[in-house]
Amino acid sequence: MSEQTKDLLSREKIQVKLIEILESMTADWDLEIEGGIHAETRLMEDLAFESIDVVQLVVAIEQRLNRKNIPFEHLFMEEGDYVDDLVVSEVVDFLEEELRKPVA
Amino acid sequence: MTSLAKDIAIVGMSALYAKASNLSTYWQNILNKVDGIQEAPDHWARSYVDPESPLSNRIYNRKGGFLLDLAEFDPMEFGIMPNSVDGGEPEQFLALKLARDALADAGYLHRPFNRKKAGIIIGRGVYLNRGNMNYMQHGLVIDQTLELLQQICPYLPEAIWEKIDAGIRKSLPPFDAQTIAGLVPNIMTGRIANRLDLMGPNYIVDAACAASLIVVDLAMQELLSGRCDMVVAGGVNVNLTPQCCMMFCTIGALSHGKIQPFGKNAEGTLIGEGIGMLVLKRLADAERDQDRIYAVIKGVGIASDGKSVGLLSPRLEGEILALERAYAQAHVSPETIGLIEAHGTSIPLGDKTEIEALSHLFGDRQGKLPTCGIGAVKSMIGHCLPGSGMAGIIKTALALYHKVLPPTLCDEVNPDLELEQTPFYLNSETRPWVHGNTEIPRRAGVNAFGFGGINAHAILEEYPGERTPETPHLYRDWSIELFVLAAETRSALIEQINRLQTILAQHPEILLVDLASTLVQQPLSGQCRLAILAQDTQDLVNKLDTTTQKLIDPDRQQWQTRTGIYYAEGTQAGKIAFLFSGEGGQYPYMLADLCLHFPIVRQWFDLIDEVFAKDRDCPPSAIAFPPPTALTPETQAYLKAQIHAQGIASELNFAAARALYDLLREFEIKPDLILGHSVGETIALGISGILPVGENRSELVKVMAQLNQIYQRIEAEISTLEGILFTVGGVEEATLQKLLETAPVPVHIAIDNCPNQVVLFGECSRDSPEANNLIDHFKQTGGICASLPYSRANHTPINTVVRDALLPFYQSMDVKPALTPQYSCVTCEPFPTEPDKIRALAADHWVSQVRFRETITKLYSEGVNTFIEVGPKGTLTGFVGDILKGKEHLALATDNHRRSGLEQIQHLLGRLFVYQVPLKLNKLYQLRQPTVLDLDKLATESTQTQKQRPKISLDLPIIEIEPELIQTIKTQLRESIVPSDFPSPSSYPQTQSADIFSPEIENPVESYFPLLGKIIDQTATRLRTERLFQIDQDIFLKDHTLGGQVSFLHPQLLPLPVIPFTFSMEMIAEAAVYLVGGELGVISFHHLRAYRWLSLDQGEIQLELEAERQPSSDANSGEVRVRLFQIISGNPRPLLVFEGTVRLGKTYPVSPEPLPIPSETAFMSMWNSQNLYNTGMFHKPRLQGVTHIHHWGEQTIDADLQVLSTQNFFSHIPNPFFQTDAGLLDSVGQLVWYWAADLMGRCNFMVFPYSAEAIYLYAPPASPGSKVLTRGVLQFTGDKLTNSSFDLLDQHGQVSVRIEQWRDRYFEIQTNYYECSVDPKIAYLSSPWLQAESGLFLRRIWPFPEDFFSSSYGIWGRILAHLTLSEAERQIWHQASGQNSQRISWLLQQIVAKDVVRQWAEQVFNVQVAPAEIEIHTTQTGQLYAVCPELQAMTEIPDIALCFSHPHVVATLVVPGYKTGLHLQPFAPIAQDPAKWQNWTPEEFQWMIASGFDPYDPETIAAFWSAKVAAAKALPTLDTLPKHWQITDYVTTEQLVTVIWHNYYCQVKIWFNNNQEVLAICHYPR
Repeated sequence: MSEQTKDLLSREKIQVKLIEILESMTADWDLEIEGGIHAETRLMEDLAFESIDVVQLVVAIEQRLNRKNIPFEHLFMEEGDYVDDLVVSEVVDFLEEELRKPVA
Repeated sequence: MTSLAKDIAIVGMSALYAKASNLSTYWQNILNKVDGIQEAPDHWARSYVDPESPLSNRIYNRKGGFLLDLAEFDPMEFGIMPNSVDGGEPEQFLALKLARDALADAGYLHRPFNRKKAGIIIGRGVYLNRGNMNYMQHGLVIDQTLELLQQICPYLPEAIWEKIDAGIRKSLPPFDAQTIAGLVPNIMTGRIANRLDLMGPNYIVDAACAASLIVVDLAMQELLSGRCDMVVAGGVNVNLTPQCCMMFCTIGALSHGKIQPFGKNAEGTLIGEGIGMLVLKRLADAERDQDRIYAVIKGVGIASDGKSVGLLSPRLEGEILALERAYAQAHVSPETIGLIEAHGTSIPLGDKTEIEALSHLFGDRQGKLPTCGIGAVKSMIGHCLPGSGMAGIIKTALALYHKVLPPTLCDEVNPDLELEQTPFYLNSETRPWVHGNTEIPRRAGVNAFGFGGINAHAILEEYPGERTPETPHLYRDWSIELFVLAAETRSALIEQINRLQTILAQHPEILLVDLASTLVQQPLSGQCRLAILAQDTQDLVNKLDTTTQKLIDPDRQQWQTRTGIYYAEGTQAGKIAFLFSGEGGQYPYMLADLCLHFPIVRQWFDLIDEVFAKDRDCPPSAIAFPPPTALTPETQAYLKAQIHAQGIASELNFAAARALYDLLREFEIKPDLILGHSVGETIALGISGILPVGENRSELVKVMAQLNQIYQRIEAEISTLEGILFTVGGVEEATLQKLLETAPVPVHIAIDNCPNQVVLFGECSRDSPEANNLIDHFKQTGGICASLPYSRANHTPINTVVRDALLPFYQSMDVKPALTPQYSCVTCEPFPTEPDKIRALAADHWVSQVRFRETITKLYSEGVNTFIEVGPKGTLTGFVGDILKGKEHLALATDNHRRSGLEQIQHLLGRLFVYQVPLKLNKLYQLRQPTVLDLDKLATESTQTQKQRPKISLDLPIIEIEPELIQTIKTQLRESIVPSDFPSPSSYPQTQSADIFSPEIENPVESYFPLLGKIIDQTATRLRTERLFQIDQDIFLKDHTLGGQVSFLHPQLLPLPVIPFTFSMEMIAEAAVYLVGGELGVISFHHLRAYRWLSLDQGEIQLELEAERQPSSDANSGEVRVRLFQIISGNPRPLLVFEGTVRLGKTYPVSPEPLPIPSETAFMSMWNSQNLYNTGMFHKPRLQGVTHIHHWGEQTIDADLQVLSTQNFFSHIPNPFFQTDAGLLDSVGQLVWYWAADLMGRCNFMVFPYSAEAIYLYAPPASPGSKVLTRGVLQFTGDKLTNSSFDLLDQHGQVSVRIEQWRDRYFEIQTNYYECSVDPKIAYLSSPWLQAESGLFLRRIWPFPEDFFSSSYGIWGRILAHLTLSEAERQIWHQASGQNSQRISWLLQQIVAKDVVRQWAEQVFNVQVAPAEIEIHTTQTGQLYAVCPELQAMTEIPDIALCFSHPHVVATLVVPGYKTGLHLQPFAPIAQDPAKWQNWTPEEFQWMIASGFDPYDPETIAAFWSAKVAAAKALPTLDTLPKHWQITDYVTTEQLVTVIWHNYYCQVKIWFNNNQEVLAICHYPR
């Protein structure tokens, strides 16, 4: 487990996995984003995410990283409401930070 | 609402403002917030712009609302002579166009109306403009400038001043009889009345910036007094000149930056150009005549400032008085005004005073929110001064018509205006004008305040007569359009795509709305369906490309892109469910743009305002579409909270859902069943038919009011049940259950939305610690929790108060079984059919969990796979997606808060279309009145090159002198002051005489004797040769052609080539050397005589040479007499053309002393080195030997010449050897012309040498490029002859050549002929004639002097033919037999006909065509027509009518649709022999006597005779002669003669000219 966690801490790998998740979520959307989904892709503006998509993303990330209880509300919520928008790299930053923390 | 008898209707409008060439664009620009302000171009700014300058003639900002290229005016469209336009006031012509456009917009361009009672009034200021400035330049400035200059440099010759004067005038528009009408200010309206045939009053009004509103007031008076039934009212400002800006800069009123009415940074105004026109009628008349009514004008209040502080500053009292008068006169209360189009100049004092005046009348703000939008279109187009009020009225009328509050550009409102205290807000956004008052229609006010203390306020009102949604909209170009295609097979679809691509490529100008709406009308059936949303043509082309690529993959049978391409093949949607969301979806500005484009949407907001506004602080619409400015922070917070407030939230949600539902019905999209989510169930009940209120508006209003009352009644009771509502997502079901059980306070699942979201209600108050604990409880397993801005216990068991209160309401309703099945989220089943069970279930949903997830799953299992969410935001759509994840389904939202409503609805329609859901798309286009395109035709034809539309220049005419002339003057000025530095003769050193250069003849003879030709006969003393000169081989002759370049397009067409005198000399020199041979070379020529022009009319000339050696006593010298003859085919005897004697010697004689030079004043030539051959002689590079003219005097000229290379004189001889320097000597001859031109100060003459007494050579020819100083002593020896002598000096100052008694013949030529010879491509031989009077492209060639064309062996006609005729026409010219005068007649007719076509091409298409590029042909019936492929590629060329009455030639273009006959009749021949012409019929004779015409008077005879000839020419196919036509009437005032023949009835217009001749023109309709 610790090996795996250590492995996951690599920023690049987090980003690759996140992008894979986003790509599978939006597979049939024909997004036409230049160069595909990348670090600066915006979830709401570019990927047309709605609040329910955010929850789906959270669930998908937890499954993929095999981690539970990541406090995503710190990332997606601000004063009880969804933030206006997020770019992929912000999600990666958040995950990098959270994954470094020991598993509860 | 009753319309008053004094109400005036606006039934037509037109607009031309910065970046808006028409009314529709103007409106669209306003709504799109297009900033029309631009920087002035450099040619406008010149040197005036200097932000730092303190001077009053400098300006600090070059921005403004310029029309630039939008100032289009085609004089021909209005029957105005093109040459009468430039030089007049440009606004007169643009005003005419706009008046025409307004009348067309009103539908009266072709519909009859009482023209006798139709007037035109225009507000304008008579400021500096192109027209009056031109007139000042011609009439004052030029003379003034020249007089000043003459005082400064009196020594310049008179000829130079004449040149400057002419040069300056040439740079200006004309100032002549044709332009005068365009300079009389009131002819602006006079011309409109004339062209549009209005016989009511016409006048202009100047009341500075208030002028337009005064015009409207006057127009109303004209209508209300009954003097007029229709008035066109206009406001014009088309003179944004730097000088106008100077005035504003001087008083600091011009902005340094932007124009920002009421803006924080406003510090001045910017001027705009523009014209607007209204067509006004009495309202009752307009209704009777079923006119389209934009708006109603209730009245205009007018007041002056009285004794104010200054004439240029505003006075509050004056403004107030105008406002008070307006409201009192119109019986309108200011509170009913929803929009003010302010004067708003952006000058701070003016803006502040205006708000004060308005506040004085409108009072303080009542309630939290402002109620009246304010703005000024000046923020977009600048201040149009006298035209500004009209721009405001048009904008306001369009706002009332479209029910839209138009925006004003403003970065930040000026806080000093304290708008928060007033009822006003600056409307900075495009917003629907929601209006719930059914008693009083929407109303607006328009301000206009002018310099000089004149104030006006107009009150306008919405025309409520018809509230149908069918009123056409002017906002036509949407930001995005939907394109649909359907076909049975992919290949058929691809074919359609390809066809579209072809159409788009060939017709890039197609409007997308036209194309989209046309596609909708195609048969749209088939399995393969495509829908594309595109923003512009390029976007559409790209998306069609993408589609074509994707269609290659046969396995992808359905796909979509987020940018808006939808494709599906053979996929049919299953059952459709409409989902109605509950409250929570409403958000500010939802559906705002749908309200603008679909009245049916806006009307739902009108309705809720009507029902609820009276019980509230502010109407619901003010919360949905809050005012964008003038809100305190508290008010902003209030509005943000109110959108979720009890009642308002559901009202707004209801309005939005019903509006979207109606919109779906417009497209005929029908649900198979419907489902309400949460409170949305109530909306669904009204739609399914259970609550039978769906279609009945008043019933609906009643029910809504009733529900509202119930809520208000139980408000207090519900509030005790309040708790917190929050969503929880990302928690597994089992975990959630566990968390629910362990929650610190009681928690209920109120709504089960989808696997990833439930809405929980917690029984604790918001903001309490319990609330935080509760939410943290659900977050602990990583759930995503969001609190909702609601606190009611709906859908929980504790909410019994609401259920109990609503049950009686449902029980009071006459509920019916659903017409469209409706499912319940309480039971996950359809609603029961028994009324009582329905009522119980409807009430129960208030206390039952919303089982949305289960219900959707159930529906899916029953075959529903298409879910359309009908409500704002589109949240449910996401839930459905989550519920049916991985299953084939369509979940679609009608609204998406991240997209514009207009865009989202089109995405929805596109997707439904590809899944074959039946729908009708034409409603997308209906109000925009698209043009149906003929796609088949478009696919096969490409658009012709767009004709350039004629523009009218608005620039002030600046006087200019061409650079060449400036250079000439400069040089002349310098020379007049500085003495010549040319060396005096005595300073030339003497040297030894030179040897004759005698080459060894090894090379072919031709190289050494290139002009000698073929030897025919040779003895010791005699030589005969033949030389054929051909232009293609003797190519130096190409550079010795009489005239400038004939055609760019056909460079092979040359002017007439002529063998120079000095090349004839070279010929005889070669003969002499060849005959004598040996070591002797040419040392002099004697008694040279030229008898004929040696011209190559058809590219060649055949000469014969006879040389005879004279008896000589000395072997060291020789003398040969040589004669040249021209061989003319068909002429039995050769014609002597040149003769002379050549002397040969072994050495050159010693150079003599240079000639003595008369002492006289020297002047600089008008030619500098650069322009010697541009504006002077006709020689082209191979023969351009003159390089610089040092100076000239009355008898002298000193110039630098250069030795010319002979390398490329011949195409067939690479290195010819010349006996003499023929090119250099020709250049010496050119000096005679330069000298005479400088002496006389003009160029319209020619000189040609005809003899020389002696020419002595003292040195061999120098190498090419060597400089040769040449000095001539010249004089006129009679009117037509000159005699000159020249010395050519080498670089050492030695005389190398001396020419004695070189004689030229001088030919005076007319200026028009001269100009044609200099630049035949551009110049006209003919002159415009009677163009203003006739309204035709009429031109005339005035007679040449009687013997001009017969003199000099007919050379002038031959030259002219080469300057103007095409290749084919030259053949006709050369082959024509008969008299020269007949050839000349034919030539002049060709030219005048070409000239009318050229003028037409130049003025209408701005294309210059050379005469030689146009051919004039004649049909068998004598009709003249022009052939010119270059012009015909653009358009059809009208035919030509022509008249040749020797020696006069007149021609004109035939007016399209007519046959035209033209006849010019001089009186003189009639006066000589009147009897010959009096062939009247007895009827005519009697009629003439009875009508008082003298049948013996030459003028009368000429008039009637020419009328008959013109008629006979107009109808040439008829078997009739002029004398068969009979005169039946002559209206002398109109100068119209009526002539008839059988059934043909012609009216012939005649003009008398100078008591000498009469011109008759007959137009006969085809």
